[in-house]
Amino acid sequence: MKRSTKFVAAAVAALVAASAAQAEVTIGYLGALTGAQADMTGEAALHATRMAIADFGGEVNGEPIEVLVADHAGKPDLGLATAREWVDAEGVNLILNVDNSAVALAVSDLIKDKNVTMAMGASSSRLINESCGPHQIMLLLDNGTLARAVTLPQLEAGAKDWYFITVDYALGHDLEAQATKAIEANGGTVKGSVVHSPQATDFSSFLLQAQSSGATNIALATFGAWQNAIAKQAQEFGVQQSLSPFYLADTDIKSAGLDTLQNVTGTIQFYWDENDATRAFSDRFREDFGRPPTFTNAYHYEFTTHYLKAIEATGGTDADAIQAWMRDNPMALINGDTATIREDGAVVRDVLSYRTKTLAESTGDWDFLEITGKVDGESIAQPLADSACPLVASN
Amino acid sequence: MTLADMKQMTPSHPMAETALHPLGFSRARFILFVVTALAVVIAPFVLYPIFLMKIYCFIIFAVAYNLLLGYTGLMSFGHAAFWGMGAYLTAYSAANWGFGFEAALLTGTVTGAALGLIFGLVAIRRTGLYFAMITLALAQMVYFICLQSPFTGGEDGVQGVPRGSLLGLVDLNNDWNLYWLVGTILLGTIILSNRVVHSPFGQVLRAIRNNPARAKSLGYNVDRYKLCAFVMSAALAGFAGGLKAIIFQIATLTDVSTVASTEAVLITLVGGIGTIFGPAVGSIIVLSLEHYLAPFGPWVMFTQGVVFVFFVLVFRKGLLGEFQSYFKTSL
Amino acid sequence: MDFNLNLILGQMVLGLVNGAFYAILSLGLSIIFGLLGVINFAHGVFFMLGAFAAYMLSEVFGIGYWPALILVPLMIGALGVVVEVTLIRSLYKLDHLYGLLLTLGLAFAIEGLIRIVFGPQGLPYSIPDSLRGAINLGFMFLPYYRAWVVIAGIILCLSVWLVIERTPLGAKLRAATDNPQMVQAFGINVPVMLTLTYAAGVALAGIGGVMAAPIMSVDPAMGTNIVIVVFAVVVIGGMGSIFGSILTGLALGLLEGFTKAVFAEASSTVIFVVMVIVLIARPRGLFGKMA
Repeated sequence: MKRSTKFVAAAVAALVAASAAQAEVTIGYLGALTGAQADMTGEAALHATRMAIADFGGEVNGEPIEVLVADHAGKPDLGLATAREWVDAEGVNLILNVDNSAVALAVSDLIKDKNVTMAMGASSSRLINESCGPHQIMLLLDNGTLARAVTLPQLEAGAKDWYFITVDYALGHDLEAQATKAIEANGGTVKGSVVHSPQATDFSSFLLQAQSSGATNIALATFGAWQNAIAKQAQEFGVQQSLSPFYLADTDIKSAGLDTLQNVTGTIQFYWDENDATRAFSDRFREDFGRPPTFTNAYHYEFTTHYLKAIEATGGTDADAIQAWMRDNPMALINGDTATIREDGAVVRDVLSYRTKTLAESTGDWDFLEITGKVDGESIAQPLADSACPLVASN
Repeated sequence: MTLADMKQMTPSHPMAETALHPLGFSRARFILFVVTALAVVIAPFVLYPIFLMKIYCFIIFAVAYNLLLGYTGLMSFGHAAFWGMGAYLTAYSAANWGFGFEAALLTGTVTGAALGLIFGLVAIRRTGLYFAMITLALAQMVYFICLQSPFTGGEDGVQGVPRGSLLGLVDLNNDWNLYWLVGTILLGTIILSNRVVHSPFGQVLRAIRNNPARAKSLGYNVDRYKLCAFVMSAALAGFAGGLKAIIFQIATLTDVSTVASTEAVLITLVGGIGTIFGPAVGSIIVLSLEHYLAPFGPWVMFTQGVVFVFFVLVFRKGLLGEFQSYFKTSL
Repeated sequence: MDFNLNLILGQMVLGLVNGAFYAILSLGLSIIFGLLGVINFAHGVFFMLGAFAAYMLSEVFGIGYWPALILVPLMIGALGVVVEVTLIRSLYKLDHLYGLLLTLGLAFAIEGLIRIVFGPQGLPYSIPDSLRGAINLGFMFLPYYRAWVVIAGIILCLSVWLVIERTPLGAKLRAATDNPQMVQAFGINVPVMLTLTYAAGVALAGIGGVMAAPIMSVDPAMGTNIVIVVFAVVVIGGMGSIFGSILTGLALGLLEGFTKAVFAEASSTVIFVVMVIVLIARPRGLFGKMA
């Protein structure tokens, strides 16, 4: 590897501006500003990130904090190109958001031996196993954990027969595989599954198949606009089975209409109306942004704060030192809990179980969820002993 | 089908004026070529080299597209298939079969050519809008196949493509080595495209574009010439896609999607249909627009649309096309 | 994979629903292509605008589905008039490909604008109360609304076809398609006719959008997603063939439904496979005249 020569070369080529940029802390926000999940995260999580910076005082160790923004549009090529430019020419310290597994995998490769941290909202289990990295943190639950978080409480409650509607993306297939594993390990069966293309707008035929499968639950290994359409059409066809979404944000419910998503059960990392602390945060967020924060918005605030604390504590921008500090110290969550970052990059935190309210129960615009309990983060996380991540000490 | 107002855009006897100048360029083109070469040398010290290499790949892609649209009069809406499959096969052969830089790139080029032959055999008898629609639909089929075949890695794409080395001597992991190579390839492609256009083969193509019936009556096998041009264009598009996959070390669904086809059309339109240097001008403008508007999300799409409409209505011949009809020269 | 006859029948009925949308959209495309010689790449965008217009009417003015079904096509038609007069008209003298490029650019600009204004996410639009509920067909549970889409779609397409084939207005249209100079010589105002044809074609897409709003996700990409399939339908049916586009649209919807029941993975590709076969066996399309 001639990385060093590459670095020298890049330094020669990059203008004086780049070397000036090295002195400050630069956060590159690489998110989906368009596309299926932009509403839930996009500009909103960027706003949460800026809120965290402002709350921190706008600077760290006397250095200003700069934020760069780019859209990866769900395209790994575009995301990788942007990240490469940020690393080579802008001296970015933290690449944040990266809410797409394909993009995250590509960036993961890029930053492996660079002095850059990546905190990602991607969920591919590979990213905390084979493709884990020394400077990489998964803010979202990985697919395996998420699959357990969604299915285990329902299996316990007696929902044994499942049918999958899966988006024809690696994300969908991974989620389905992980959930199937969890279901079968806990006495349930998978009655069938169907894959929908990203171009699909009509899901009635898939619902018809699910209906005739005899399953009790229809697991939605998909997200965003597709999921909304499925919920809408399920109502129309009088589908009696419960829908089990994996990614259901407040913005999704708003968009599909609560009437199509009543009494849906699932788990979520953050809900604005959980307690006084979350309500206080959400009020501040809403004042500027016009709606309460979603779970992805919340973890951007939580992580950015944690990261800035680490820079303050370590007194520099050395990615190794920052990573070590962030791992050794608990991350404060908005709701008063704490989370821990493991050596494989997974964030272990308790998650909330919820049931969506009925129209009659909902009082206002964003009153969608009834929190029914808390799932212990350790109980659903992939045990470190099973990890394929080479960084895990036991491996 | 001929693009009516393009007939006057290229002089009817270009050989007469080209013979005098080096590398087969006319005087005006030679000046532009020197300017381009200088830009290639200076640019990486001012701009980010990888972004420049991306532009160069798209220039080569657009040269391939322009060869077909500008000099043969066939508008394809399916060039994403060649560019994208070229990228996939280059990436896949480098990442999984251990192919070196040259072999991988050759694989991508051959893939483009083979796919071009298949498309061509189905579509070449049709002209104009029919040709555009058929190539669009065929490319869409390729897209769906890529979406479902395991070798493409789905949404992840083929990642971690090794760049390898040039002839086993020059390490291409060094961005600068790669840059000089890609820059050289770009200049070579421009020289080559100028040669092809002014070769007897290129003359026949233009005769076919301007008046297929007359070309036929002169004894030329029109369909075969068109097919040949189509395969050449597809091969070059596959080559460009492969090169991009090597530079970015990734090949994805974006490359086979309609977006890539429309990008080729937009670049060619903006630069000037049927001009040698149009693809270069078009790529710089279109890709810079994308690059610098990227933080503003949907504004990219909006702006591209407005640029499209504006050029069709006002600058139909593209920037260089307008320029050359103003100065009465060929660029 | 078990071949459950009920499932196959059910999927085919649902396929017919999609087929109705394909038919409405490809009909509009065919009319525009037949007379103007323009492949209207913006067709999907007008479909999407139809759905957004229905949404806006309901959100802002509280106007429901049924009035929207009348108002939206008028709005979209009016927009079509503006587009034809200000943009497309200047291109008739040029190569047809410029019309394609212009409408492609227009599609980008409009979809981009809608994304800027409404964001990328889908918006909710409810099924009208009068069509809630479903009928049990024995082999499936068919929502009234879907049944309505199939029936209304077919009636709409057939009436448009009858107008074109059986009325004096239609006769003028067909004549103008074949020989505009001749029709102009007879004192018919061809430019106005072209404008109205474009408006009518996109208004059809607008109606399609309203009809789709309650059952598809109302989002900026909805038009782009469906129109790619519709282009294939038009190529298969034969470009410019009015009746061909209706029949092909419905038939391909059925075929797609059948494929979903039998071999779901192929359902998104099956139309393109048919297209390639048709192109090889009958290059002008199933119902197309010789070019």
